[in-house]
Amino acid sequence: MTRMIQSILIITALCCTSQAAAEVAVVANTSATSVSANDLKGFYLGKKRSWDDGTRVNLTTNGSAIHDAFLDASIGKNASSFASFWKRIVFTGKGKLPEALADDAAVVAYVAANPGAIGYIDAGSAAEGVTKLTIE
Amino acid sequence: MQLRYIVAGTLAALGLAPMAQAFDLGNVDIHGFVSQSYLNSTDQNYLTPDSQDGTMELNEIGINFGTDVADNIRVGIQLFARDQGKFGNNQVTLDWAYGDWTMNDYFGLRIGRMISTGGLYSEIKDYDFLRSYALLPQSIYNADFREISSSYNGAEAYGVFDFDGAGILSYTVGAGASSVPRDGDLATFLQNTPVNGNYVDTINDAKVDWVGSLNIVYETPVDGLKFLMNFNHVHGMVLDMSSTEYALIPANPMPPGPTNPAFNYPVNIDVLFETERLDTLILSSQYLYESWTFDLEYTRSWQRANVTTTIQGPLSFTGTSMSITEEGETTSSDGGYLGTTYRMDDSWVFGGYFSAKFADTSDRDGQEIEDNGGQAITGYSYDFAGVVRYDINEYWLVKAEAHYVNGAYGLSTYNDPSEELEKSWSYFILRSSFNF
Repeated sequence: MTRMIQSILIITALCCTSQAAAEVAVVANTSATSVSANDLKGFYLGKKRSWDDGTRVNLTTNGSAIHDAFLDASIGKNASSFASFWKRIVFTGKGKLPEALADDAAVVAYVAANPGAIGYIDAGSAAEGVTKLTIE
Repeated sequence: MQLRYIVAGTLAALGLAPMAQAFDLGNVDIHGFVSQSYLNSTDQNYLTPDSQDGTMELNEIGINFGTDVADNIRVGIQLFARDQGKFGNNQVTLDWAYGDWTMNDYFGLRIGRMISTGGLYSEIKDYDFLRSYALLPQSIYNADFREISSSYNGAEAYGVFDFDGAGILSYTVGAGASSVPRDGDLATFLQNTPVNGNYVDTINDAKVDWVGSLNIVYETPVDGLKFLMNFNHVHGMVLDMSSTEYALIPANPMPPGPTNPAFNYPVNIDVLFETERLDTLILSSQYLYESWTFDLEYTRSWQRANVTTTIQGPLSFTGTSMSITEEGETTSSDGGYLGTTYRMDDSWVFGGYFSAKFADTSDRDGQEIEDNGGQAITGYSYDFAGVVRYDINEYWLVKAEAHYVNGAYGLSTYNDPSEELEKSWSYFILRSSFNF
C-alpha cells in the first residue's frame, strides 16, 4: 500500500514537473519591452497588425511543444482551431499564415533578423538578439 | 482549362512536397483545395438532376496565389471551379482578386474582385475544410445562384476597433458591379424551369447595376461570444427573356371553319423582369465554449419586381403585339437555423442543425400558393441535419451528413421537371476535402 502511494506521488510529481516546464516567453524584434495580453491576442488573431511605433507585426509560430501551451494561455484557442482560423484568413485573401518555424532556436534567429517579428519560446531557452517582452 | 488540371499541375510541379502549410514560390504563397461529394436523396432530386440514383456531380476546386508587394500592401487572386448538377460544370472562374492596402488597424482598402460577406459562413461557403457541416444551412447559405451572392467587382473598406475590455468591433463596407452571366446559375435555372409547360429559349439581357454591402462584427467581452449584422443591396437587376410558343390561329381574321382553317403560328413571348428592390439582412451570433460551437442565424429578404410581358404574333398579322406590365408588390422571405458542433478531439467533430425557411413571411404554411394552384409545400422547408467530421490529418478530412426535410421551398422542378414535389424527403452527403 505504501509503495502504491509512493508511486502515485511520483507520477503526480512528474506530471506537475512536465506542466511547469511549459512556461512561455514572448520574444520580439521591437523597441517595446512589454505588450498587453489584449494586444498579444490581437496580433495572433489578425486584429492588430502594427506595433505602437507603426512597425508592421511579423508573426511566427513555433513547431515545438510550446505551441499548444502558448495558444492555450495567450490566445484561448487550441492548435486545430488556431490553424482553422488562419486558413480562413488565407483562403479569403486577407492575409498570410504566420511564419512557421521548427523550434525555439529557429524562432529566435528569425525574430532577431526581422524587425517587427514576434514569437514565443520556452522561457528557459536562450534568447540572444531579441527582446523578451513582459506581458501586462 | 479545367481547374483540376491547374491544381494537379501545381502539385506536380512542386514535386508533391510535404504539405507544410503553403507552397512558397519565392515570395508568392500558393494554397489550394479540392472537395468531392457523393449525394443521395430520396423521393426527389436535390441540387442535381440525378441525386436519387446517387451522384458525384458535386465538387469544388480552387487555387490561390498571394504575395506582399510592400509592408502594407498585399495582392492575391483565386481561381475557382465547381460542379453542382447543371450548375458550374467545372468552368474556371475568377473567385476573388484584389489589392489590399492597410493604412492602420482602423482603416484598410481592397480594390478588385471582392468576396461577398454575410453571416458566419458566406465568405467561406466554398471551403468545406473550414466548417463542420457538409452542406451549410440553406435557410441562409443558398447553394444555387452563386454569381450574384458570391463576388462583385469594386472596392471595400475595412477596419477593427479594439475597445480593450469592452470588446472588438470590425466592419466591412463595400460596393461594386455584379453580373448575371448568360451561362451562369440563374440563366441555367431559367432555361431549365418549365413555366406553363414552356421553357425560356433565350436570355436577351441579364445584368445588375450595382451591389452594396455592410458587415459589422462585434466580439463581446464574454470570451467566445460574438454578434454579426450584414445588409446587402442588389440594385437594378434586369432579366430579359424570350420564348416561342405555337398557337392555333385561323388563316384569316374571321371565325375558323372549313374555308378558314387554323394553323400553328409561332408567337414570340418576351418577359422583362426588373427588380425595384432586392435587399437582404442577416443577423448572426456565435458562441464558442471549450469544444462546443453554437450558431444562431436569421435572415430576411425583401423583393419587389415589375414584370413586362410582350406577346408578338405572326408578322402576317397586324395588331397582334401587346405588352402588359405587372407592377409587383414588396414581399419578404425569411429563414434561420440553430446549430451546434462538438469537437471531441483533433480528429472527430459531431454536430447538427435545425434550419427553417419560408418563401413568403405572410404565407408560412403555403396556403396562398395552394389557392393559386401551386403546392403548399413549396412555401416552407424544415431541415434537420446531423454530421460527423473526421480529420485524417490537417490537410485531409471526410464528412458524413444526413438530412431529413419537411417541405419543398428551395427545391426546383428544373432538377426533376416531370414529378410533383414531395413533402417529406431526405438526403445524405459523403464528402472528402483536401487543402494545402
